[in-house]
Amino acid sequence: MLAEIVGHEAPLRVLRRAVATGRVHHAYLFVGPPNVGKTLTAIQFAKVLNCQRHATFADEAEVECCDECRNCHGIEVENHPDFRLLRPMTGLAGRGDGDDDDTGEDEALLEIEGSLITTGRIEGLVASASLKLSRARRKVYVITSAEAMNKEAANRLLKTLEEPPGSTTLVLTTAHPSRLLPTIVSRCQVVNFHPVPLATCESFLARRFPQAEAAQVRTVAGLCGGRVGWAYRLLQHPKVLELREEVIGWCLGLKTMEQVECLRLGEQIVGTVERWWQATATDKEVAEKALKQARDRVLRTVFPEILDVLSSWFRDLALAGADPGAPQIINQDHLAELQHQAPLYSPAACRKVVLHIEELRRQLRQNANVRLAAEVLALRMLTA
Amino acid sequence: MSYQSFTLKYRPRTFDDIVGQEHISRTLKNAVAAGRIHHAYLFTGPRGTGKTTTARVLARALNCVNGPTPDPCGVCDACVSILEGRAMDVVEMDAASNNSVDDIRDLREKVKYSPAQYRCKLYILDEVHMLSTGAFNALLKTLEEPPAHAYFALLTTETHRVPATIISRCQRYDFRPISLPDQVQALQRIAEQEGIAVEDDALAAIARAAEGAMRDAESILEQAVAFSDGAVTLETVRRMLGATEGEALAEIAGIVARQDLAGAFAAVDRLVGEGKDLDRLVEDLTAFFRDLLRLALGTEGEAWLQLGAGSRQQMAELATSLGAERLLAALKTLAELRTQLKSSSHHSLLLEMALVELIRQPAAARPSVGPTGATATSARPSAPAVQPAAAAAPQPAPRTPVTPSPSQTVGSNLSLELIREHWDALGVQLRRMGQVPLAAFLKEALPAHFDEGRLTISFAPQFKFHFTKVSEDYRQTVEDALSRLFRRPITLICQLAEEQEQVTAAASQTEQRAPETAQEPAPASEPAPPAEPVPGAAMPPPQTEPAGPAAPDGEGAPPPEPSKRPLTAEEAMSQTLRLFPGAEEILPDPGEPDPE
Repeated sequence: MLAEIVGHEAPLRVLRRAVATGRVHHAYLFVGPPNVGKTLTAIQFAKVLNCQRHATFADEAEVECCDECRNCHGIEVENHPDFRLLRPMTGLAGRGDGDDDDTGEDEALLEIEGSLITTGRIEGLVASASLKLSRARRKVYVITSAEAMNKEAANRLLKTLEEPPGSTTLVLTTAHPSRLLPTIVSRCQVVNFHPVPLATCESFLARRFPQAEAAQVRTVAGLCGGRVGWAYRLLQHPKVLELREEVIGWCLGLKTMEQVECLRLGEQIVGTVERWWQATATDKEVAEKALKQARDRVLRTVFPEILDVLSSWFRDLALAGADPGAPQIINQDHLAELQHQAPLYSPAACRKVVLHIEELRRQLRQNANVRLAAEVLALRMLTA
Repeated sequence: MSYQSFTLKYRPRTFDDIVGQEHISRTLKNAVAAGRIHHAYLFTGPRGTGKTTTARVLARALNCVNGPTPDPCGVCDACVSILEGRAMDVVEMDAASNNSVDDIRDLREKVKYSPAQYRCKLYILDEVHMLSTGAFNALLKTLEEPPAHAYFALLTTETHRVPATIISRCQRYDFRPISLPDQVQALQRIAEQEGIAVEDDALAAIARAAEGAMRDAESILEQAVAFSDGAVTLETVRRMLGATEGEALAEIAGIVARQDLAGAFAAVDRLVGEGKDLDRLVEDLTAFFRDLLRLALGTEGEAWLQLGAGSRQQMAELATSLGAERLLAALKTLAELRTQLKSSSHHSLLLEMALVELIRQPAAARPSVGPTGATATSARPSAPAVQPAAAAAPQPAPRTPVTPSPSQTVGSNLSLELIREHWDALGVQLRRMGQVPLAAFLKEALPAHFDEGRLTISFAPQFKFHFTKVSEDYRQTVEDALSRLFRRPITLICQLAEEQEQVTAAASQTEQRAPETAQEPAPASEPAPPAEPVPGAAMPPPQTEPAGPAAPDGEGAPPPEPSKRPLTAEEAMSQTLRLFPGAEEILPDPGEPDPE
C-alpha cells in the first residue's frame, strides 16, 4: 500500500499523479539517502500499476493497491513473471545451497560493501523486457543501488532504458547519482527522496514499537537522520543501543586518555563494529558465516553506522558550545554530558573530526584497511 | 502504447527540427542534397544533444521514396517503417550489448548483401565506445571500404575510448550542449503542442537545470507538468527542483555575518524539514555569495542572480558587513563543500560543518601557525562579537597604500638579498600556478647575481638536467612569475656552476653547496614569526615594512644559523606579503603581519 510509506509526500504525489493522469514514465530514478524507503516505494508503485482490484482512478488521492489480489501478492513476494527486483549481489553463499540465481541470496547478506550488479543479470533483464506481458498491465523492473552496476552493465541498459519495448517501466534507485553514468541519469525521470522529518519519523516508530520507551524512540529518531529504515532496524535490535552507549562512552573519556591509547581505542572500535554486525543480524548463522567468509567486507559495511554515531556526537558538541539547550541536538539523552564536554572542544576542532569521518566513509568504500582506519580515527578524536 | 513520454513523442523527425545543432544538420542536408554522402559518420557529444535522433533522420533522408532528400517526407513506406523501427535495412545496434568480435563478424557477413527493401543500408552503432578492442579492429576494414549500398553511423558520448584508427575512417561531427535560448524555444514549442500554459521564467529555469541536454529538459518539463495543477509556473518548477528562495539565502548569509552558530544549525534543520535539496541549495548559496562578492568589490554586472533582485539593499548591507576577504574565503569553503557533497549522503551534516567554518573564518584570516591550538573560548561565539569590527576595519587599510606606489616600494629596493629571501615564495607561487615540477627544479637553483632587472640564477653541476629544463623550456614562465611577485620586469639568466665561477666571486661556490642555508637570513634577521597575535589588533600600514628586511643589504650574506628552522611555505609567503603589499592579489590567504 502506498499509504504504508512514511513521509515522502512530494515523491508520492508525483507518482500518484502520473498514475491518475496516465502519464507513467518509462524510466524513473529514485534518488535519496540509503534506507529512506526508495525500494519500498518502488515495489508499492509496481503493485499500484498492476493491481487487479484498482485499475482506474478518478483522482490522484484514490491511487492505491489492494495488497490482496494475485498481482499484488506476487509482486510483494517477488514472484511474478512481469516484475523483477535486481539487487547488488554479494557473491557470498547464504544459508541455502548458495546457487547463484536472483533469489539465492539471503536477506541478511543484502547491501554488503563491494556487491555488484553484473552484466549477466542486466542482459537477462533486457531480454525479458521484450517478452509479452503475461498477466500484468505493465512490466516493472526495479534495480536497487543502481550505482552497483559495473560499466558494461550500465552501458547495456542504456538502449532499453531509453526506449523500453511495450509497456515497461524501469525504476532505478540510488543514493549516489554522481556515481551513475550521466547517460543513465539523463534517460530517467529523477524523483528525489529527502530524509523523513523528525516528527514523522518519531510518530511512526512510536506506532510500530509501542513497547519501547518514548525517550529511546526519540533518540533513535534523531539519530537516524531521517532514514526510517535504519531506525526501524535499530529498534528491532535493541542490543545495538547498548553498543551505542559504549561508543558514546569512548567520546566522554577522550579528554582523559593519553595519545598512545589510540591503538587500544582503535582495537575497541573494530571489536564494536564486529559486535554491531552480529547484533543487527536477523539470522545469526548467516551473519557468522559472512563474517568468516568476508570479514573485511562485512566490517566495511558496518563501520559507517558507528561513524554515524560518532559524527553526530561531534556535531552536537559544536552546537552545544553555541547553544547548550538547542532543540537540534541529536543526542538529547546525553544532553548533560554534552554541555559538560562542549567547552573542551572548539567548533573548528569538531568540524575537523566530522570531516575526517566523512573522508573515512569514502575510504572505506574504496579499499582502506579497517584496522588502520580505526586507529587513525581514534588518534584524530584524541587530538581534537 | 497509450502514453509516450515527451522525450520519445517529440523526437525530431527532420533535420530542421533538430535543436541547436545547425552546424551539423546543415552540413548533412547539403551533403544529402549534393549526393556526397560519406560512408561512415561518427557522432559524438554529451548526453541528450541529438546524436541518435540525427542518425535516424539521416536514415530516412537516405531511404525516403523521394530520392535521397534533405527533407524526408515522413509519410512514405520507408519513412514510416524506419520511424517505427521495423525497417530491415536500417540496423540500429546496441554496441554496448553486442560488443564482441562475433557480433561484428556477424555484421560483416550481412553488410555485403544488397538492401532488402529500400535504397541503401544504414548501420547505426549506438554507444560504440563499448565495443571491445577486438571488435573495433574487426570493424576497421569494413568501415574503410564498405559496399556501395552500406553506410555507417557510429554514436558515442566518449570519443576517447574509440581507437584513432576508427575515428580517422569516419567523418566526425561534434554535437554541442544546447544553448539556453534554443532549449527554451524548443520547450515552448512542446508546451504549445501539448496545450499547456508555461511561464517563460519557468522554461528558463528548466533549461538551466538541464545543463545543455535536451532530453533532460524535456523530462523535467514533463515532470513539472505532472507536478503542477494547471499552468506551470516558476514557483512550481523551483519547488519541484528543490530550489531555495532568495530570502533563505540572505538569511544564511546574515547568520554568517552575525556569526550565529546556533542560528546556523537551526536554519539547516528548518531547510531539511522543508524538503530542500541541499545540493542545489549549496549551488544557489555559492551563486549568492558570488554576487555579494561582486557587490563588495564594486563591480556591477548585468548577469545578476534572479533571486536577489528584490532585496538589492539588503544584499549591499550583507556585502559590506562580510567584506571581500571573508566572502572569498567563504566561496572557497563552499566550493570544497560541493565536491564533498558529491560523494556523501550526509548532506545536512556537511552543510552544518561548512557553516561552522564560514562563521569561524575571520579567525582563519590570521596566521595559520596555530589555529588548532586556539582554545575553545577564543573561537566561541562570545569572542567573535569583537571580530567583525576587526575584520572589517583592516580591510581597506592595506588597499589604500598599495595603489599609489606598488613599484616604488619594491622596485627601488629590490636587491639580490631580497630575492634570495623570497625564493621560497616563488616556489609556492609556481606550485599555485600548477607548475609543480618547475618549482622543484628551482629549489636547486640559487640566485647568484642581480643587476638592472637581470637576475642570474646558478645550478650546481649535478643539477644539469634542472638547468637545461629551466633555461630552455620554462624561462618565460619563471620570468612571468618573478615579475608578478616582485612587481617589476625581471629577465632571467641561467648558469651552470662552472660557468658561473668565471663571472662571480668564488664565495658564491660555498653558497651553492648549501643553498638551503643561504636562504636562512630571513628568519635570522627577522623577529620570530608571528605566533599568537592579539585578536582585533590594528594592522600596521604595510609601507613601513620594507625598512626591516632591507637591513641585511649592508651586511652582505649573513652567516647561516643552523639552530633556526627553515621557513615553512606559509611563513615565507607572509613575509613576502609584508614586503610587497600588492602580492596578496596573487597569493591568497595572507597571514596577518606582525605588529612592530
